[in-house]
Amino acid sequence: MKVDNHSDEQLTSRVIDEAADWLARMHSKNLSDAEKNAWEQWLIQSAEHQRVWKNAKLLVDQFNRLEPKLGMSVLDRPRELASRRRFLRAVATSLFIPAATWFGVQYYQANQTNFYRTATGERREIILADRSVVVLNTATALNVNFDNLQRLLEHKTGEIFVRTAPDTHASSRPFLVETDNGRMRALGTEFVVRHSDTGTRLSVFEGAVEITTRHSQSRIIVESGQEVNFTARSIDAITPIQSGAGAWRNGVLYAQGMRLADFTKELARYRPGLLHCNPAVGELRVTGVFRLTDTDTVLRLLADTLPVTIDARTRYWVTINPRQEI
Amino acid sequence: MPPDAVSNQQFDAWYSTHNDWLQGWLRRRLGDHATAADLAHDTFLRVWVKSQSNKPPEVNEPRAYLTTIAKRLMINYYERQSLERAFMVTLEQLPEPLVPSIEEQVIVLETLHELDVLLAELPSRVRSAFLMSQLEGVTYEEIAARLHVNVRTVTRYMAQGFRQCLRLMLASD
Repeated sequence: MKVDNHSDEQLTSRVIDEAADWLARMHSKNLSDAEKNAWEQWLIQSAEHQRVWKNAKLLVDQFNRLEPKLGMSVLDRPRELASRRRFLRAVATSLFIPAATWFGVQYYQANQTNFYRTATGERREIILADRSVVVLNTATALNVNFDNLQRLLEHKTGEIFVRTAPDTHASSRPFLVETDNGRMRALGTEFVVRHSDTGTRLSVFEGAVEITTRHSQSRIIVESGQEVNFTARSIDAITPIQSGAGAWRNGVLYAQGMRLADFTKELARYRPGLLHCNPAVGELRVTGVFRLTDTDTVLRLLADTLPVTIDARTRYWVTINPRQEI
Repeated sequence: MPPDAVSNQQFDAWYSTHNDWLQGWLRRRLGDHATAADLAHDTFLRVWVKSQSNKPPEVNEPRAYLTTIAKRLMINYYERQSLERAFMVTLEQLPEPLVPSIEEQVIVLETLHELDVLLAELPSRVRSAFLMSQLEGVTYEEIAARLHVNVRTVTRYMAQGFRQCLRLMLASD
């Protein structure tokens, strides 16, 4: 907090104005190389420039991961309160706490838990209080809840990689990951949990993890090199880990003879909006290592190597169709 | 009474003296017991956050101070309700593959709320232009055509939108 530091505030305000102008230009068209250089020069001027830009990226990410139609009709709804709001603003200006509003979720949970999430296409590594490492894959939400009795990760959605550290706490608390479908207890270990509507998948790379399902309370221990799907009521058969299961940690998608339909589903997780595969080409096979940071390039690559075309109605609505030979 | 910075002791005193009164004040305006209690709680929470800052506010008249904050929270509450209504209505209209799962809905709603707060003060045309670009990926030329303005105006709207959002995100409390 630097309320008293007037010149700092002036700097921030100037940098925000400049960042806003850059953003407005970047969204209208692709920048020329000269403009790109100018922008890079602008960005490296100070830590403040980078701080402002980081927030700008955060903002754009927030928009990108909304479904366009849903976002439009909610955020662009008519505001009947607008005039009343302006009137009251005169009274309330000095008390407005925008930071608290923006960080509202985090604030209320800051007491003993932390809430983390990633945007579509984002990947983020966090180091927990006990030095365990968690990597969040695209579109993931996670509550971290440590107390005197346990180290608990409440995994709401998406995919995480966990490398646990031995607990330095006197009582050596258990390390637990919980989803709707049940609870996983780490027995000194590296593992990936992927959680979606259809169930939870656990892949263990090192050590072992014990699963207890939520409703049926069935238990099973999954060892290193093994993988299993489970729901609140049942556990599937244990299978060997598919090659490439944790490749996303390095920002790549690994495919070996993968059905195009499955490949599209995977890729769609890293891309805002809709990505569909026409069933007519769903059985084509894809092999390769693909960078997840640039899904547009991956799509172009598919069109180059398979008999398909990429039809983009908008950048948020893309379909992979059979190529029509003319 | 001389102006006072809010101290911890004073906060306790305010809470015991004014909490019931504030709840009554809110109840008369909202007509809802539970919401009034929630918003009164939130009001005191904000006062407490403020009192912990480097520069606690000086307050002459506690009840006026409390109701000013409470009014702001009431507006936020109404906006949130209108946002949630719009959200539910839209969900019903979306084709099934576009409907987020229940877990995702919680996150989507939170994201919408955060963005809604940032966009609230923008003039409606600026907000519409900004959303068309950010959500629908519409070109400036097309936005200009839809809003019957020229492309330079759209560029200005966009900069205004980004500026407003960044100001609120970066405002030092």
